Amino acid sequence: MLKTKLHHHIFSVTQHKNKGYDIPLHTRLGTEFLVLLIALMTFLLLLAAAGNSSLGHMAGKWVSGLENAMTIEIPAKETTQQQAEKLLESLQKTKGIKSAKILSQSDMGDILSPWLGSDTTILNDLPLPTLVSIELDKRTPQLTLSIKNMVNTYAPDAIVDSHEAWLVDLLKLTNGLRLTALIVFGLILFVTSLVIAGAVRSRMAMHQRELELLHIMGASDKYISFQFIRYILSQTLKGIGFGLVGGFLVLGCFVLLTNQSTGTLPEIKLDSSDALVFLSIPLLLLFIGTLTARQTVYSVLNEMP
Amino acid sequence: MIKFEHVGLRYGIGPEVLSDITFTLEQGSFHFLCGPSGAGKSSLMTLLYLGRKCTRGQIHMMEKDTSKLSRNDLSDLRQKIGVVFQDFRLLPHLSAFDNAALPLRISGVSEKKIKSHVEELLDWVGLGDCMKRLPATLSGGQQQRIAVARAVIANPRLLLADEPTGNLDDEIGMKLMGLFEQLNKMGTTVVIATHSTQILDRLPHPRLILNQGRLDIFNPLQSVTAGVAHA
Repeated sequence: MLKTKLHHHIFSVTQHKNKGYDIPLHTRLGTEFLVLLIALMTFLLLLAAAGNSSLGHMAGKWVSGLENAMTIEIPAKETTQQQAEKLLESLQKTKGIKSAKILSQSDMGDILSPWLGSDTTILNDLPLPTLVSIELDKRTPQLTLSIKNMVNTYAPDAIVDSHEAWLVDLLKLTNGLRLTALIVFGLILFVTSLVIAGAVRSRMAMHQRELELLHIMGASDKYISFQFIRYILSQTLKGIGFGLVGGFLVLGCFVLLTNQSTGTLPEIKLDSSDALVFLSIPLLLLFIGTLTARQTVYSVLNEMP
Repeated sequence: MIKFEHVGLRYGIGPEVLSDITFTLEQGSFHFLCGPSGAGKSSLMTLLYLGRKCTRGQIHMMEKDTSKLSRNDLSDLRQKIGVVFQDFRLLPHLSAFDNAALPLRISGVSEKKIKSHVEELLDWVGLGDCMKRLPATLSGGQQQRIAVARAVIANPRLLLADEPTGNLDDEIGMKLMGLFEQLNKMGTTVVIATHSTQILDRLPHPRLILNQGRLDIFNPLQSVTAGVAHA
């Protein structure tokens, strides 16, 4: 008696949980596996998007720091200081140059401290070049040419470092990394689609009898596919939820780490465009889930008469 | 209503299980499908409920050539066919009510209408107090009655039943045949596959008799207009 009641209760609970499904898609084992995979994919997508975004920020930061800056290096000679001062005077009068200054001994000490240590008295004994640091309003070819002419006039043996080589290499590297992140992003979406298609196919194989019955009773392909789409969407939503929680936790830890760094690590900032990218991840997954489930169901049903 | 022309059916590369079947059933006719086990009754039923395509010949159903219909049109056609399977084929996770309501849901009938129709029909087949129960908690006879209720709920134009009285006692069996006859009088074409001599003796409807994949003996009553092609 008790066993019968218990049996009835279990079945009633199952029935209540699956209300609205003609095919018992939730009643077999393996639904957690799909949720877990979607969670993992969401997590990886979030990391790929964040990686892409932080690389963009990092490149932007480096480029903006170097793009409008130039350094003139006058080799150490007896006349170096006079040459530097004349050049500086001329530079400061030039339109388009925001600021120009000769780096002091203390500035040089800061630059060389990683190699020479904090004791700057040693610098007096070294034949150091004089460095003139220039900050431009905006780099233009005319301005660069004009500066080079001035350098030729006042300090012909000086070297003008416009950081172009650095900039080009840096941009190549960061753009390459960003492209890689985008490819990884696309691959994850592709694999997600395969995972969903596999899950739908296995569910359809498990419930072949129910599918045949619905088909014989006149259920259209649309009616049957709707059941699978609902199931996939519910599983995908669960997976997205877990994946986003995990992903944002990891990103939060990474942001904390970078905030404590000396500035060499890439910085993760969330501006409106990043927020849009992060928001698009669940939407993309839901879209892919719907489309894949629909197409898979249709292709399997197409084998029925 | 139904027209089979030189229809053959084989599974894969095996021999034909149905050969050269030709017959016509008029709208509103009532036929029994008889024959020994393995004669091809289930295969013929499968073709009648459009569960398979024939491997040769032509099947016209409700004035339509089934081989030329689109998938959506075939689905619409199937919605006009009610089937009682020998093994019931109830969905185990759905209650008696939801099982019986399935054809109406597939047809897109409103929940309000579904409720009144299904409750009325389940009451009629004596399952008014079992509506919320799952098939696993019901007896074989009760499950069969749900299967019958599901087949007739949408008022089909063609009703097919494979041994519908197999698990029922005589009284309920005859009551069920009464329901089929009632539906038949309202215009539903009925084909019942049965072994029951009791039913065959009591109900004088024409018989389609299958033997080794051929419609060997054919009862030439008025509702059946065409003969059977013999090899």
